[in-house]
Amino acid sequence: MDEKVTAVFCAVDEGDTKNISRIVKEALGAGYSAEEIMNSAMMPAMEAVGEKFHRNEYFVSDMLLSAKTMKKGIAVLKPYLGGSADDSPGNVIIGTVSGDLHDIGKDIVAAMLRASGFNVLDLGVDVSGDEFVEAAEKNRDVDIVAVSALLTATLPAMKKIVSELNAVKERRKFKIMVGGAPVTEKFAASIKADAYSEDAPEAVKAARRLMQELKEERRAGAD
Amino acid sequence: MTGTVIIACSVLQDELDMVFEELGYSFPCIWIPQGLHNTPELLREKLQEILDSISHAGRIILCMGYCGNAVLGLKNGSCELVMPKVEDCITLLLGSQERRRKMTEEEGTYFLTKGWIQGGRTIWNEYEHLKMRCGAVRAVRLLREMMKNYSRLVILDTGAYKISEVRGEAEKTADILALRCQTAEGTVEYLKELVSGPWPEQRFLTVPAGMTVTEEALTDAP
Repeated sequence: MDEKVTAVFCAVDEGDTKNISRIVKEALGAGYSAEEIMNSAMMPAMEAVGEKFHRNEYFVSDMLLSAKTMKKGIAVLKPYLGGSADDSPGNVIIGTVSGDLHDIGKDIVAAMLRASGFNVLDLGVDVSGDEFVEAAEKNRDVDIVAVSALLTATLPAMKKIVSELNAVKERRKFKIMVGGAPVTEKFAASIKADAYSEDAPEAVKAARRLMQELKEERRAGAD
Repeated sequence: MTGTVIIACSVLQDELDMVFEELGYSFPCIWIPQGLHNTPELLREKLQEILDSISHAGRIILCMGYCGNAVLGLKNGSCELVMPKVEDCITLLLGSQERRRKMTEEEGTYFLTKGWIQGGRTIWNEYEHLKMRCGAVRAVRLLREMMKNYSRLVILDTGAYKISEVRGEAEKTADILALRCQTAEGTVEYLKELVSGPWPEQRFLTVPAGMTVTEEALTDAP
């Protein structure tokens, strides 16, 4: 990786909010595309940050600084990321379940989805099943509903919310993905979520996969 | 109850000492360093390592909560494993999930005890760490952003320590986070039940010898 792109990686990894805008502009100026900078530097940097946090090397606030750095860098990339709202890969509704006030992880997922071109409606924290369902009903072009939780105690609420969303899915086609520290792949399958991701970069990959599935299902439905 | 071994999070040391004093007996304790709840996988590894090292216990009691599913997948050895059906140590010291839910529904609440204030990674540590990285002003701004969904900090008075010992530190933390600082009554009764038994299914998870802690067991809401 060229030093300009490496510099972007390091800035996000180190939470260098002060210099990220300049560093991203330098990478763009050196001829790297916005997508390249996102996919070769920013997303891998956030994966590295996540791994350091899971190894207890990074504080929560280190992760927050890196997330803010990434968001600032994405703001510079945005005009160059190509496409408009009409060309967006998909429309996502995201929120943290009722009883849970944690939002750092959800915010990072939302930022990375937006950076990847998705339109994201963020319902915030402590979102009830009724609020998720209302948002899914009102936003008729929703493709994915992403449900987040950090507290193990809110997993029953996540189960209920996914069940209520699955009832809406009988009338409309969209996908449900879940994530958060206490969520596991097995739990996600048991509550009939369509996808699970263990961190923000995986959430983007899962969202892209779900969009592909959705396109094929909608095409098959139209045939 | 011969052969009982306790595995406990060190955040509960004051409360557990008080419980042993009230009961008039104690059990050997293996302490887990506080703060591992931030990394449930590391916590699980530590717990499994300890479980695997215990060979002659009649019963193992886990004095902690599920802590981000850190207990999920733990493989039990040759004796019964008992743990409270709680999210974390705070719920244990509040006495029930219902009380935790009620207090959190009232408003976003950040709970502290002496163990939390004086142990491992606290919000104050986060502040000191951030201050070194980006200066005091920015550190305060970022921490308040992190805590934007909370409006009060509550010190739990469990009776295991004097509130005056920790009030200064708690108020300092509340001030930095722009939270109101309050005290609420805590309890060691749930912890006492955990140590002494019995262990009704509604409040305790009992894992028979040779079994694994499953998702179904943990999502069976109390």
